[in-house]
Amino acid sequence: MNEQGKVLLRIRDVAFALHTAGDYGQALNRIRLQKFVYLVDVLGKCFEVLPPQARHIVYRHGPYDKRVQNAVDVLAFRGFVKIVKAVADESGNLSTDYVLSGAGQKWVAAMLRSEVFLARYGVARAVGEEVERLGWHRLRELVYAEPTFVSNRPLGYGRVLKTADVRTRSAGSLLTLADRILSAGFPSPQVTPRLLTRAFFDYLERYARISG
Amino acid sequence: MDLSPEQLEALRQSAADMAIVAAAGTGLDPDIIRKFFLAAKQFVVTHKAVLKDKHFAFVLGKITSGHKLTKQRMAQELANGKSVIEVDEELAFVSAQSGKVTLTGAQERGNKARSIELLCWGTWGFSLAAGVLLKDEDLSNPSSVPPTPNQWKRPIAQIVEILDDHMGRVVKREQGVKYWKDKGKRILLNPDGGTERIFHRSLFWWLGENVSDLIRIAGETRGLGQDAMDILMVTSAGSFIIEVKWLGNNGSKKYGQLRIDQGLLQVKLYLENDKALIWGHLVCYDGRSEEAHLKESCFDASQKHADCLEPSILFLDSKTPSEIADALKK
Amino acid sequence: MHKRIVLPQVRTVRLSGFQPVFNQDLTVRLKSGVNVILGGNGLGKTTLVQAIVYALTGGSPSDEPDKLQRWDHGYFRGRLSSTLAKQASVKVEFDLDKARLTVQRTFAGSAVTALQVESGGKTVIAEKPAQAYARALADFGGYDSEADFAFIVHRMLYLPESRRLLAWDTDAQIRLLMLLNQDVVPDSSFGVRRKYLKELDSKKRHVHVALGHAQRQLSELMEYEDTANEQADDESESPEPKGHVSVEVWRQKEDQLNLIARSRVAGEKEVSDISRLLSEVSEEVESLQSKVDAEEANLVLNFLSAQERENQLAMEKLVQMGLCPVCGTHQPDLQTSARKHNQAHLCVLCGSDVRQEESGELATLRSRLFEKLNAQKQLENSFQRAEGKLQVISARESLLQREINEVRFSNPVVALSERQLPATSVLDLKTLVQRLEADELDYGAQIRELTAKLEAEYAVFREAVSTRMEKLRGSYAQYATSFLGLKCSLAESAGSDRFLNLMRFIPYFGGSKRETPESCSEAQRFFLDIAFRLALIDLETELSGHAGTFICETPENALDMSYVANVVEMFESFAKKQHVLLLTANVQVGGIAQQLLQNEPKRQRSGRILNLLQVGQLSEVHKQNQRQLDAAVRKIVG
Repeated sequence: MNEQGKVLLRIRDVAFALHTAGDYGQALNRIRLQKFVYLVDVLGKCFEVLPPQARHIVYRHGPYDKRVQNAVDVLAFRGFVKIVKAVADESGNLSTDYVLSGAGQKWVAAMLRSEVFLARYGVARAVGEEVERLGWHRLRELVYAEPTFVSNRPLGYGRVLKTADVRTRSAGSLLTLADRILSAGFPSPQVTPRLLTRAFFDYLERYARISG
Repeated sequence: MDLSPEQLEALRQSAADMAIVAAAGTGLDPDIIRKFFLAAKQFVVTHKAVLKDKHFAFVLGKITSGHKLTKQRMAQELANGKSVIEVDEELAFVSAQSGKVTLTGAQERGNKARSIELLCWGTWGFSLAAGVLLKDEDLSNPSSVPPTPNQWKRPIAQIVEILDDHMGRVVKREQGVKYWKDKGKRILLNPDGGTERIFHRSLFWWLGENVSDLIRIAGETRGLGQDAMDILMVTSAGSFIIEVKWLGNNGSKKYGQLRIDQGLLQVKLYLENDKALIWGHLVCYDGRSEEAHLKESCFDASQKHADCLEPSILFLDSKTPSEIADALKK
Repeated sequence: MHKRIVLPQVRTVRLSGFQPVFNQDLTVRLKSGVNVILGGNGLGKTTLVQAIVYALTGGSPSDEPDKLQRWDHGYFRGRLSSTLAKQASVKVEFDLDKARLTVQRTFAGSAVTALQVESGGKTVIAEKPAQAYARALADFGGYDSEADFAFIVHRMLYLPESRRLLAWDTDAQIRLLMLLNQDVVPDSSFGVRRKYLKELDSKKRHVHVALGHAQRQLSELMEYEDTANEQADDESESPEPKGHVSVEVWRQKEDQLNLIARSRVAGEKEVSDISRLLSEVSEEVESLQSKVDAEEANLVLNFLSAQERENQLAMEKLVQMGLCPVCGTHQPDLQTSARKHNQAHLCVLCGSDVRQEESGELATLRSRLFEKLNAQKQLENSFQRAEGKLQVISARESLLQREINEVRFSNPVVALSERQLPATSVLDLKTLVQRLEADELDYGAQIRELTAKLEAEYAVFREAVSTRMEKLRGSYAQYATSFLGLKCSLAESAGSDRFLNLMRFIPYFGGSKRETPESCSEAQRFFLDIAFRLALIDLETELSGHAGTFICETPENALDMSYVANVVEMFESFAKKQHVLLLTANVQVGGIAQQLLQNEPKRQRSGRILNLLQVGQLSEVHKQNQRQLDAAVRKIVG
């Protein structure tokens, strides 16, 4: 797949992220957007939705995929995303919050009429619910508690975050383990993807608390 | 999966969240389950003066617009012999039935209906989901169990040593576990749920406290038509099954060497059918004579699965410590 | 006292059935003085000479200590024709005192197959030749055994190409001197008893080792019993079992460890196999995913474009109205370009190909992907299971190993058991130790006694032969000085014997004793050794009145041309004493053979030469150079 294709997929992911956040009255800045999309990639495993082949890497503010930033810039340029707040910090760096524009909302609504996108959108919804429950301000600490990031962060910037690889200390391994933990002892366990998502976020929250 | 201590602790805490685990067993909403357990436990504690000698069960039913359960309504239903009370998560009354308020009864009920239940013997509460016991505790004092000193904690790889520790520290000293009906004649107790339950519960507690890499422990009847008890332990490495058996005489049944092979076969079946299991172990608490223990503890190797260790056959001494000392002196 | 020994003088050699070495049966008559066997490489010089030695001795002496020097009839096996070898034989006539013996051997075995003894005008053909030969050697030669005779022949009278030196060899010199002077040696069994002395010493050493071993075992067993008793006492005092580990339990742990280790290895293989399969399936998943993603990307693009059109967004305005999305002004060129790109389904702005390659029906792709995902999930579960199992097994293995190590290092009972204590009692071991100590003392006493006796005998011997040794020295000095061209004599030096102070003869020249062979050059070593042998033969001849024989293989091989004359002088001096001197030589003009033969009357020269070019199997090289070789022979013969 060429670079344009990869950006198009991230355009999709950014759209779903902003749409979901928007339902909770939230606008996402570029850093939170990166994190939200990252969590959707991670939790996709529960829903059998694969992360894109071009993945996040370890970077300064956490998991980073340049195509996510490129995607939101494209959408803003083309009129599907609005910049609602531009705040400069002490160093003069500009932080901008994004929301879907009216056209963006219609566009997402049109996409969701196609069942092709429903599964991925469902993941974004599940992540949105959990983040809403725990607090959008906690997005950073939740992502920093994610096991793939935890094991790769000390290895330096640029490490590709293979979240689904069960042969490493990754979210994929943890999700499989969590499934086993929850199913243990029950003759007919009912471990749904939604429940697994809940359990995973519960773990992230506890880990964040334990590790300070 | 190789976990850091913080990750292991976080998982352990998550696995201790009854609501989520119960949701996994029943398919119900964890928030609703959480509300139910909170409300039910609170009700018991609040009305413990009335309920302290009673045995009853709260079962989570569908949401209703009915009235909230009151102390009076509760007492009335209990007096009418209806000790299984169905309520919603707000503790609004749904229905009352008569039924077994034993652990076995609760397990059978839950297993059939895939329900959430809080079984209470006074203020002692058993939380179950789909018939699986999740936790039992003193509801009026949830942290009454003292924390276990670290010296006894061992990883699952030392399961044999863990069983020996339990044997030495708890069973032999009869600390919180009584199993002799007649020591002189070496006859074991046979309570509700069977003799196996005595050892199962004690071991279940010990393992829950002393397996250092444990994430979750579950104990239940498998419903295979046998009065077998087993314990399932989940660690980051994998899931382990411990099959508990007793040997000897409980006044009603006598079990000997054949029981060992039966236990091994059972473990073999679990290991063959459940791909999540990586190891299995059989522990037999031996109430037979010392001679029988020494001479009749062999097993049929063909019954043992490759992933099953050699069984632990643990002799139950019926002598007092001074009797033991005298025997040694001789 | 014994009779003096007499050295043999070889007269005739007859070889039959020696094809393919020689193309005919051979008869060689040796004269007193110089005799030369002349021939090129591979023509049979060594075979002939060794056949003579074989006939006399049957091969190396039966008591030859050096394995590498041992040989018998088997030595000739590869050289003779297999069909003729059965009939092949060698017959040697030699004089021994007043008798003439004709001894024959074949090559089926080393025994003497025929013996004829001519003595006092009578000729006797022995019925039992092997026994008769030994008797004849004793009666006429004074040899106590065939082994003694063989020793004399091999170590003194014959110098093969392997150059086994006599000088510097203490044992050989002592034996030779005692044999040659057996008429004055107090007890002829000196050599045998020396050997016995060595055996006693060897036995004493073995007893010493066994004693040490038994003492160690006794000490360990006593310690083991003390510790076991101590632990039993401790146990009986307290009803609560202590944390000690019995040997039985420890061995069980070792067995468990072995089993676990095997499981671990199997587990590692399983993990590796599953990982490999998982990689393969994951690749397939990625490939399918890539196609699915491409289709999805195209869909996203379609939806984007549709919305842009519907909502008249910036890009649509660019295409329709030519409005620049950045500055908002009308730009016809930009519009043209945008339209062109739009029609070609390229990016409106930059013209790059945004559409992804279509891979097929999305539903079908997804269906295939889900199938693969299921397979991947199964493998992931298997992998985690196998890995988890391995983790636990490895942990158990480490724990067991640690336990075993702790026990091994801290528990003496177990540590002792590991050393495999003997299945015997303390009393038995104590008895054994006592017995071994007594044996060791006894051997020590025997050794001391025998050593003293042999020292005394040796001293008597030296005293008795001192005059003869002077003669030996004189003879040696003459030969050695002839060769070296400077004064050389025999000096005595302490031998290498561990028990007795035996002396050996070594060369002395240039102001120093030559303690080791390395203190001389190769030629010096060789020719000074020859000088020593010649001197010994001279001495023996003087004492017995009978000349001897010296056989030497290709002496020129070690020689610098400038020393040829010296060597010739040495050999001539020897040959004049009526000894039989038999040399082998290559066909070499100007060499030792030619110079030695020049001193013989011309008519007799041919009678002193055996030209193997005439009877040996010529190689192609020989045949090609036949004329030159014949010419060389003619020059040598003169």
